[in-house]
Amino acid sequence: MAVLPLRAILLQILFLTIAIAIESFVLHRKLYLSRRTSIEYAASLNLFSTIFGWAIFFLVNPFLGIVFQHEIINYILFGRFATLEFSLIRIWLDVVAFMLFTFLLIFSVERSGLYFLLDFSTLNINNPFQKRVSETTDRQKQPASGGYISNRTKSNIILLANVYSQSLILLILFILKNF
Amino acid sequence: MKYLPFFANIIKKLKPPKILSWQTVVLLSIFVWLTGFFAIGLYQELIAFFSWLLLIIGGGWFSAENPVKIGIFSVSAWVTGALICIFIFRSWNEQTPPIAYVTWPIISAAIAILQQVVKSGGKLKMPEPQIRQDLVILFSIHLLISCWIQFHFYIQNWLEKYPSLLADDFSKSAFVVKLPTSSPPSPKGSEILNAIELRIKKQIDNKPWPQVQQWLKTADIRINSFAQTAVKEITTTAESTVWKFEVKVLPTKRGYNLNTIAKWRGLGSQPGGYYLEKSCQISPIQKQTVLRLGAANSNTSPPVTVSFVQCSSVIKQ
Repeated sequence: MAVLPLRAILLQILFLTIAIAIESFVLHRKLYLSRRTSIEYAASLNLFSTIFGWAIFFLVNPFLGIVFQHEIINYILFGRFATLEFSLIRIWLDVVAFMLFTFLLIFSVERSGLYFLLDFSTLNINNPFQKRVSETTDRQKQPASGGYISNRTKSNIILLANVYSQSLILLILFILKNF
Repeated sequence: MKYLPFFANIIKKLKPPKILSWQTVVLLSIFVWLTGFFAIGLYQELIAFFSWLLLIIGGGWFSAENPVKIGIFSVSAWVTGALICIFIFRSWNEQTPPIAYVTWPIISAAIAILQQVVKSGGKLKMPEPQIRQDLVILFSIHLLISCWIQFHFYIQNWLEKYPSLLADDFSKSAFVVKLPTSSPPSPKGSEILNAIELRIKKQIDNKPWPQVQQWLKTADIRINSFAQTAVKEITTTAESTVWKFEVKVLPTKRGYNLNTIAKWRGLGSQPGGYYLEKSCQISPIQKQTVLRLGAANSNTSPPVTVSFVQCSSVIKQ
């Protein structure tokens, strides 16, 4: 019994590193966070979405039908689908739908994660349940215009960061798969 | 005698500097554990329980006072976490359940966080924003490690359900690596085919030829029923639905060729699955009836035609 998920772990670490590097750059430039803070935020957000993805995998897997489970087992263990029951087109449609779903999921988890982190960093120390709303902290530098960053802008920034990082990861996956 | 300073050092380390210290708790746990030798039955269980509990408290206390860190991983928290996991999912005789390994990093992270949040005197304290941010990342990383361990157990579970997959080629996988083992495993199908061979030989080897010919007419049904019992004995229920068996009887110049094929369809690295085949040659041979001592001089007993079964080893296609 010596089949270990070492490749999955290494690939995940690689992709996390890439995503954190790109997204922290975007956060630093657009959200006016310090370099250190933006790296910490990007790391936390990507860890959140990764863990969320795993949780969904573990929760959904037991409820899948045997045919679907066989496809997953075959893809994970042997890198190809057991295409006996489904046609290839059907499978690739599923894959594209799955990737779109994953993208939206990561985006929404990271958006909520960013709200959480911003709230969490400004929690009142003496009374954790009361947020310091009015005060600006030294951690979150405000834009020069003096206005505060709206939630809409924050989610746009997260969207942009994710488009960049996940496009690059897809490109790397494509290169790894084909060359 | 040269170990004496070593023990003296341990005793010096374990000597409590004051009454309320981790040394006291650890010594207490050892003392409680020693009293367990004089107890029986339920009392022994109870004493072991308290001894372990005290050891966890003492270990946690020690690690809070002497933090050892590798990167962001607090070694002492992992040790205390292991103690707690063994305590919760304790099964001294059987194998440790997977849940113990899966929760280990989470519990260790919780301990590491508690050490930051709980200040001396047992008061809870909200850490500074920077430390809070560090703790978020620390906890997330430990949770991710738990996910990896859980994933590892998922894979082991699949391989237990479908043991024949172990014989396959994992090199195309983006997720797993197969470490080289001393004895390369073979698919369960070949074990099944060998079991079928044994049963075929038992029934038609060295038997009167006409009887064997009769048997071969219904070889298909008979061998399939052998296969069903062999599958149940050798593989798991999940895998038994994947193996399909086929029997071919071909007449040859000298007797018959009996081919038994085990088909593996679906899971695996090859798109169409694969076949395992065993072919047996069944031929008639002339055999002199057994000569009895008394009848050694009489040549009247006629030779009998009996069957002779010879099987190849399993071939994979």
